[in-house]
Amino acid sequence: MIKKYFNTKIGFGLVCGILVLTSSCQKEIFEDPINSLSPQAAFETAERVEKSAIGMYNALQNANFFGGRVLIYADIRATDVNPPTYFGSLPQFTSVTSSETNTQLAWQGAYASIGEANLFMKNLEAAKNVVSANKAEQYIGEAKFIRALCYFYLVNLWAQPYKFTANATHLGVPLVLKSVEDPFSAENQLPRATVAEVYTQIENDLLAAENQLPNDYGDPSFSDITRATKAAARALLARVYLYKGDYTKAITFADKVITANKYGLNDDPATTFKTYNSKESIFSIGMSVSDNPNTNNALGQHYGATKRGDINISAEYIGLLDQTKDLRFKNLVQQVAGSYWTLKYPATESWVPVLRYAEILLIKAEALAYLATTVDPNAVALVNVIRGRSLADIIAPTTKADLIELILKERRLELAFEGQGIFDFLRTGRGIPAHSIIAEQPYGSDYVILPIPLYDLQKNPKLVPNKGY
Amino acid sequence: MVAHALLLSAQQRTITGRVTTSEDGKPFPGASVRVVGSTAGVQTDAQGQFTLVVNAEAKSLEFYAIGYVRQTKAINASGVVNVALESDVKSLTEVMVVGYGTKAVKDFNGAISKVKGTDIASQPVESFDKALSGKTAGVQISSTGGTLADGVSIRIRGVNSISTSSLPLVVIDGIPANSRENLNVLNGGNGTRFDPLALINTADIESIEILKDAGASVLYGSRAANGVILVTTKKGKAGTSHVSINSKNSFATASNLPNLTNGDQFNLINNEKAFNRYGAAVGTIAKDSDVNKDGIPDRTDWNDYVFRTGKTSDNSLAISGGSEKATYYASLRYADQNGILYGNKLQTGSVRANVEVRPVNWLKSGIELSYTKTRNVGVLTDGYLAGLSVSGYNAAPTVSPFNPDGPKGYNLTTTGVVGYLGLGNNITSYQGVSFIGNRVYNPLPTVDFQRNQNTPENITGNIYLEVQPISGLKLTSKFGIDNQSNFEDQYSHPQIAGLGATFNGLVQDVHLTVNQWVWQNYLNYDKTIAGQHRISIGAGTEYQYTRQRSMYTYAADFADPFFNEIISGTFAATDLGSDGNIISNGLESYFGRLSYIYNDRYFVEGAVRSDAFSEFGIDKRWGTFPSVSLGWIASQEGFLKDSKYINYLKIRGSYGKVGNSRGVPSYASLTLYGGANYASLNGFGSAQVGNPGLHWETSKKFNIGFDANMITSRIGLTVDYFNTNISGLILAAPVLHTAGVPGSSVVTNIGSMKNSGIEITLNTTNIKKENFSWTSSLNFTGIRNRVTGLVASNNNADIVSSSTVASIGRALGTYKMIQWAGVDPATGYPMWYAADGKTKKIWNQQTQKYMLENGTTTSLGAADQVYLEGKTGVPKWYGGFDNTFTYKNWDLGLSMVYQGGNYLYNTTYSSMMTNTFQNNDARILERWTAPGQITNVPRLYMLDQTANQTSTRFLEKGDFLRMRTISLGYKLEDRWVKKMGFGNIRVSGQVYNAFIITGYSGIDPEVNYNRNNSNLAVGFDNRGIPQPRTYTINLSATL
Repeated sequence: MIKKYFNTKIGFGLVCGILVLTSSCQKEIFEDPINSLSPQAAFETAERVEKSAIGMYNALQNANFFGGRVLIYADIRATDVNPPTYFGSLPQFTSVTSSETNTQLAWQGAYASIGEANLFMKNLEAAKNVVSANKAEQYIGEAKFIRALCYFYLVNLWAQPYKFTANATHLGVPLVLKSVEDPFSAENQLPRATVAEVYTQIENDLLAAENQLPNDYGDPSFSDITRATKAAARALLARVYLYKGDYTKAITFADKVITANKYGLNDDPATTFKTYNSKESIFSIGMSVSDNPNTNNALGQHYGATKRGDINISAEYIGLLDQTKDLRFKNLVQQVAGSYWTLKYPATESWVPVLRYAEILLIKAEALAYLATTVDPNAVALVNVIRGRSLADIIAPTTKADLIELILKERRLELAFEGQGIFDFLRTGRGIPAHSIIAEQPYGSDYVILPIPLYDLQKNPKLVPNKGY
Repeated sequence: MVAHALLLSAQQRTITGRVTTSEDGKPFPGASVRVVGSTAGVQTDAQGQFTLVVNAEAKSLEFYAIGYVRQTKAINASGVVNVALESDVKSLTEVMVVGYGTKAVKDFNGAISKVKGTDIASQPVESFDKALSGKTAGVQISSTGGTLADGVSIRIRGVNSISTSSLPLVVIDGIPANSRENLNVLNGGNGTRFDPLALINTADIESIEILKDAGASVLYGSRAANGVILVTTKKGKAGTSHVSINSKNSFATASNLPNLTNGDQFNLINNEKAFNRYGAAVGTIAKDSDVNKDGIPDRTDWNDYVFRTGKTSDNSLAISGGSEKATYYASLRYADQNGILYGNKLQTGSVRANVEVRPVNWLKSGIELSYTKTRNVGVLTDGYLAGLSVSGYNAAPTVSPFNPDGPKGYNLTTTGVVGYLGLGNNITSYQGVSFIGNRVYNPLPTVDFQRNQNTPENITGNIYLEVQPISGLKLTSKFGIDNQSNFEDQYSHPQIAGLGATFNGLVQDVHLTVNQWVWQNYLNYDKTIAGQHRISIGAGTEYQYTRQRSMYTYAADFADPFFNEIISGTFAATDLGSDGNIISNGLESYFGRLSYIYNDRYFVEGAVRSDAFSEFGIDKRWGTFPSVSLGWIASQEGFLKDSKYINYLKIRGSYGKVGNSRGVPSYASLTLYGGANYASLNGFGSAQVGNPGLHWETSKKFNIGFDANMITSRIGLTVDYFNTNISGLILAAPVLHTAGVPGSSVVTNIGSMKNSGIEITLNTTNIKKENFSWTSSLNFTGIRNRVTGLVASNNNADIVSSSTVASIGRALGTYKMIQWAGVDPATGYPMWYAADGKTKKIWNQQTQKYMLENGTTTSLGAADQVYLEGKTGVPKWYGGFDNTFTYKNWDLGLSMVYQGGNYLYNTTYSSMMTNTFQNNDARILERWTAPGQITNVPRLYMLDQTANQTSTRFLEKGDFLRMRTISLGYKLEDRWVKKMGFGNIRVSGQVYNAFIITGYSGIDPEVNYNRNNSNLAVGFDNRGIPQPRTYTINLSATL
């Protein structure tokens, strides 16, 4: 009896002891992620590389940058909209500081989009043999287009315009062209490149992209507009040259888009903003309900009279339109609760228009006008094409200066709320006129450009702050 | 007679006897027995028996043991002396639950605090962590306020991390609990939060032990750096059987409310804002309205609607008891809490059963099961325009919440931007610029029409087997599961602005499950050799696996507002689709300890734990955490042994290394690509840049202290000094934005920090009379923190969060901001100092530019910010002071908490001084109006937000003393109770948060704006909900 009892006790003890010694089970409890892939896996097959390329556009949808906010930041500091209270100090110029949140988030968003493109190029390099040479070229073209697009807005928001100094030797933004290897390396502390250097980089990227990109993706409903194409690269180049004042090249690239006979004006100026894949759209950031930059950041929310309703149209802009005739008033402006609101962004998931055909015509018109010694009839004709489409009266300027002024006015009317408001003042050597409660901001004022964010200034001693902040 | 006596004195005799404990009559092994006046003595054996040969002249014996009252008993003729020893300070001999075993308090070398379950259950709080406030030294609790089941910040010995969590590990009945800190997912988990600790029934808690130093906590290795909270639930006791009923009924009101302008003041102030900027041309913008159409101008005190009297009824039933062979404890609780906020509700039902069987005396086995389900009707508060403490404070007092013509009789906008509070006749813009900074919701329909519900559930089940194959050796295997889930249900109504109006009704449902299992196998071996050498060995393994899954689904564009649930065919928009995530992690551990005690006087213990955690870099998963601790009971030494004053003195110290891994993001060591779709195209995008070298935060903890009982143990004093050096801090280290890394941060081990401090606990029995007693318990903790290292490659730049910084050489969370220079009496313009602290920079409202006193234009920016040395949001000292008075059957308890040395940034105040068109803090009435006027409130100027920018103007001291509870109880006379057939009946009343003494001008200096997981910017008071003042009547009866 005693013996048996003893054995049972020891037996139990032994079983427990064996359990303790043999119960290693790291294999079962340490799992690889099932919600994510390793970078190697993401570039393992041609299909996956394609998806990783798509990921660059996902990054471009950044809610604080090309999800739409960057367009807003260019427009709320100009005169087409009333300074929105929602964006705090941003529309007020002098009270902005280097720790202003929206500025910092936009800067971060721009470099995150650039970082994704750089990272894609690095990973593609290591997986070159997975895809065909043509495809690899195309992807690199897409990456370069995205990078150029981001730098274009960065340099225009955070630096004085190209023509501010003789050879654009004034400070631009840091040029990050390689994916960082070590996030904490001192090598990441880049100084600001000059504006000329940034423009050169944008040009080089776009010229390379023009060669590498396809004409289309065989997907007219989506990818042909929302992914980079030859036409998109050319259209952006035309704009870049216009901003630089290189009018000959601006015309060359505008013509490349025009003569492709692929794009045209819609009959109704509102169509572009409802049918996102119409012939007028050259490049837009695509959006859907599930990946729009949410109810706080989408263009459709900020501009929507019945959505967030943060940004309404200034009386001054309305005054420029012929309310009885111009379709841009009749079909693109609505009056709600005593204020005017744009109908360019009717839905939360409205696409973000970046480059469209009407702008190309106006770029060409402006370039022609500047190059000519007198009134350039082709320029006048181009403006009248734009005006005619909206049933506005045609123009008949008598001097070159009149023509240029009318073209700039037409750009305001046509491109309002599409993210070029403040750029059109600055690149033409004009300050921001007094508007609403905002005092005049003269050309060359420190406050017409955004502060370099304090966050980066503190971490990168090579970064020079913008004057005045 | 004399001769007889002499004859006897030449003889020796043998005395035998038995020593028992007076508590339960069990044998008392190891008690010392000594002849009075001689050194001869023995110790009792395992059965409590002794045999002592004494000289005939020995008259009496002295019996003593640590923690027991010394007793002297005369030797009688029979030669048998039996004694029942009475514990002098119960806590000394009490068995404490420690990691993977138990120990008597006096055998413990580490720093540990114990809180009784009764101290917790008596408080009207949703989770036990709130009830720990002020109860023990070294533990600081901050509640978020009066929103039910909102998270609580627990800091043991200061803030021990920068980016990861500083919350301690919670272990329930030996099984580490799920470490998720909030069961909410929607709104980034920051809308209506739910603290999973509220799923534990406070009435089931027997005791809570808090392990503070490495000596105490090292067996929890990689998770011990923030301290460990051990919760032990109630178990049945052999030989008893009880039924107890407990019923708490309470009502609660907000302990304080903001003082806002009334209707007339609102009109005056807002018209003045507009006039000062635009002149007479703007006209009258703030006008009376009669929105509710009762014929008189509307006047609304929104606080009357947003806050209400909360009511709670909390009833529980417990049965417990057992025999030698089996014990049981089972309980049932149902609580229905209606909070002080409009619409806020929490219903909790829970059951528990703890059963242990002991079929033979060498084996026991038990099951601990619990299930809790709650329904939490949440409300949004701070951080949301729709939040009650935002919309309610901002709303114009000149419009009514009601409009007979509005949706369901509420005042809501129905044209333009729909679903906000209608502003009646007020004029809201001029020259196209809106005066409205943030639109205002009508808080009532925002709550009434919509849903923000949580339905959390928690099942825990532990099963264990303990075998004792040979004497002193115990083998234990314990397996525990902890399944938490939450069904989160949010509905946004089409007539309310935001998601509802955007999507024509939107339902968002999230189902979150967190499943965890833990398996422990360990042995403990205790052996006493030659009566003086006690050796104790422990060793074991533990495995833990956690998997978390969330699934989201949406429905939008409903056929009619009647439909507000996901029901087939009632909604049109399907393109929102569904969403979800799965993550898992594992922990594999081995541990051991060895302790040696000599002569009940000298103690030494070494312990080590090795952990491998799956979240860390593949080659960095294993970490080894050792500690050593020493103890010396000085009062056992000859020089103190007979001291009249010092009854017990133990000096102890420990040094060890523990880790922190809590709050590390999943798979943080890996560089990952995740799903990244571009509208209709599927894609992959970089999700994070990982750090393959990621490993634990390492805390080297040193502790030295003593426990003393003095003057017949009427005074108990515990003092500890600690010093913690934390290195390899797991930082979500900020990366230059230009580097383009996702989220601009990489989780990495960079940086170091130091915490040192002192803890004092003083327990006194001030008066002890037959019918009256007064006992006090005071605890104090003082803490000093220094950041000693940051990210060198970032130029050692400060890590900034809302005007607080982690900065080398400074305390974590030191404020950095511009300094307020007051209001210029001549112009009413606000002024700040440049960094030099002398040059005044004046904000010219007219030109919207800064100028110097001589009128030159200047700028004010980051360069003018200064470190406010020594000023942080983290309290430098804190503690509690409890007093208990008993008189006959009455007892009165006064429990206070205090803290201070910290500064609070009063964001509620700054935002309520706004120059936009909305309601203001009543202090705005002190604004500058005439040249020469001395005031601290600048001239009003519509839309001018610079005046209220972040500066020292809104920084205030956070010191406070709060009367946490005043309670009065009465235990019914036994004779009446017996007649009724009860064991005992107690009736008590309590006031919780009775009053507060503070210089802070905000609603409540106990702020926890950033909640659990943030260690910076903790002192920001941004529209937190005031704490409730709760009046409770409690009836408990035992059979």
